[in-house]
Amino acid sequence: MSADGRCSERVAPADLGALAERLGYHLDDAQIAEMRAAVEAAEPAAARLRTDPLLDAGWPVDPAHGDAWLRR
Amino acid sequence: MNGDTHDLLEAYRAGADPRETVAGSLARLRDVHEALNTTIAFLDDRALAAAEESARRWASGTPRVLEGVPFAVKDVIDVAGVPTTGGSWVCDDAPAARSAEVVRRLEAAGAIAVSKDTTTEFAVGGPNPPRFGTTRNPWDPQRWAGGSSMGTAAAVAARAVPFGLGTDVGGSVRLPSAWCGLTGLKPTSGAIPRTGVIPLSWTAETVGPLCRSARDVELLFGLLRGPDGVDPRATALPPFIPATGDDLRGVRVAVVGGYLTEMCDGAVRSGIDEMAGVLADAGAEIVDADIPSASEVLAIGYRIVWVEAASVHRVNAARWSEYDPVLVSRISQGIATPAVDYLLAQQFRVRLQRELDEVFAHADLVLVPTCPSTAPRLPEATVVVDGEEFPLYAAQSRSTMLGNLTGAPGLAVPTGFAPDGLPVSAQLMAPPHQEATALRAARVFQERTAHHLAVPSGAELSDVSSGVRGTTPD
Repeated sequence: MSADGRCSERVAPADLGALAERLGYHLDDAQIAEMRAAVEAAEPAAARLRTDPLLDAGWPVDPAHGDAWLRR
Repeated sequence: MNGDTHDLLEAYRAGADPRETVAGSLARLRDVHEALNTTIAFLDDRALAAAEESARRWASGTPRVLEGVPFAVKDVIDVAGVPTTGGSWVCDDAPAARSAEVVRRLEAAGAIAVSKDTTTEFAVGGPNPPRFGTTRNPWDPQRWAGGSSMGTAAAVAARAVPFGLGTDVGGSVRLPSAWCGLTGLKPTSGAIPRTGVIPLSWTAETVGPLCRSARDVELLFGLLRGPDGVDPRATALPPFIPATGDDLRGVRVAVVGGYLTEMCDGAVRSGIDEMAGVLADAGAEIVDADIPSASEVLAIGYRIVWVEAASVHRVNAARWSEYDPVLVSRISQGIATPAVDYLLAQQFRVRLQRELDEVFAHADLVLVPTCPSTAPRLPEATVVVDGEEFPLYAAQSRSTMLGNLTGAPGLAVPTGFAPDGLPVSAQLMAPPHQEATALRAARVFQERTAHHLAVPSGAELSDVSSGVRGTTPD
C-alpha cells in the first residue's frame, strides 16, 4: 500500500485464488482472472474511499447509523 | 388489456368477467413470450381457479380491492406450488412451499398471479442468462427489456398483464421500467417485506411494482407495504396517506445536476426538462441542487452489493462454474474485498444520507434521470448516449444506485420517446417514507401528459429476425 492509500502492486492471481479457496469458493483460472480484473478496476474508488475525511469527530462507524436514517 | 389496473377494475364493475380476462392474459402472455422470451412458467391452473373465485365474488357483490387482476412475478419471488428458479441452472426446481409475503398480500386482495418471469441470473447476472436467455423489448425486439426484472417489464409493457412484481438492488425495477415505458417504484428500504424472495444484498435490495401508471403504483404500494414479522428490516412504518388534488402547490422539486446528468442522452435530458416544466405548471417550485458525492455512489454501492452477494452465494460456492460468467465476474469481487473496505462503504452511506438531508431541507423531491439512455442494444447490451456507445455497466445504474445505497425511494416515470422510438424516463426521489409525495407528482404529471399511455405496436412484437437463446417453458 502506498502512502496515498492506493494499492501500488497488482494483485497476483495465485493470491486471489488462494484467498477464494480459503473462504470456501472454488473458482477456475478464468474466473480468477475475471475476478482479478474486476478487483483492479474497483481499486481506484476503494482507494478514494479510504482517504475520505472523517465525518463528525470520527465516522459513525456502526452500519446501524445508515439503517437508522430509514426509521426517523 | 391496454388500460391499467384501475381501468380493469372499472371494467369488472361494469360487468366484465375475470375468467375471460385471466384466460386472455395467459393467451397474450404466450404470444408475447413467443416474440420476446418473457416467461419461465405460465400459471394456468392456479390462475384459472382463482379467476373462478373472482367471478363468484364479483357476482355476489363481495369483490376485494384487486379482485381478478392478473399480475406477473419475477422468478426470484416465491409463488406457492411453483418452482423459483432465479433464472439459474443451480436451483433444484422444487415447488415453493408458500408464497412470498408480497404475493400473499396481493392474492389476499384478489389479484391473480399468472406467470413467473425471466430475470438475469439471480437478479445480478448479465443480459444473456444461460438458462432461459435474454428478454427482448416490446418497443424494439433488437433491444433489451432491461435488467434485472426483464420478463416482468416486457410482459407489462406488451399488455399481457397490467402490473408485475420485481426486485431492485441497483435499479432492477426502475431500469426495465424506464426502458419499457413503465412506472416503477423502488420503495424505501424496509417498506415492503422481502420474505420469500431470493436474497442478494440486504443493504440494497427491495421489492417493488412495475405498472402502467402512477395511480396503480400508489394503489399497490398501499397494499404491499408494512412489516410481516419475519423480514428484520421491515419494521413499523409511518402511515401512507396518498395525496389528493390535481396540482402541486407547495411542492419543491430539486433538479440535480453534476455527475447524475453529465453522461445523459439529449432525449433523456429533454424528458427531465419537460417533466420539470409540467410540474412547475402544476404549481411546483423547481430548485437546483447538488449531491457532492454522487460520482462515488455507483462504485461504492456495488462494493457493498458484491460483498453481500458473495456471502449469499457462498452456499453454491462449489457450483459457480454453472453460473452465468457475468454473474461470477461481478460478485466474485466481493470475495476479495477487505472487511474494512466493506465497512468504510457502509459508513459512506451515512455521508450520502447527510448530503440528501441537505437537499431535502430545501426540496420535497429530487428529479434525476432514471438512466442515461434508451434500452440497450442486443446482444452485447451496449448503450448509446448522444451517439457514443458505452458498456452496459458503465451507464445503467448511475442514478438508480443512489436510492439503493441510501435507502431512499425512487419512482421511474415515462417522460416521452427518443428519436429511436424508445421510451425515456425520469426518476422522482423522495425522503424515506415519503413515497406519497413522489406518487402525487407523478400522478399529476400523468394527468397532464400521455407518455405512459403509449402502447408498443403488435407489428413490432412480430418483427423478430432472430430467435432468443434459452429453454422454452412447457
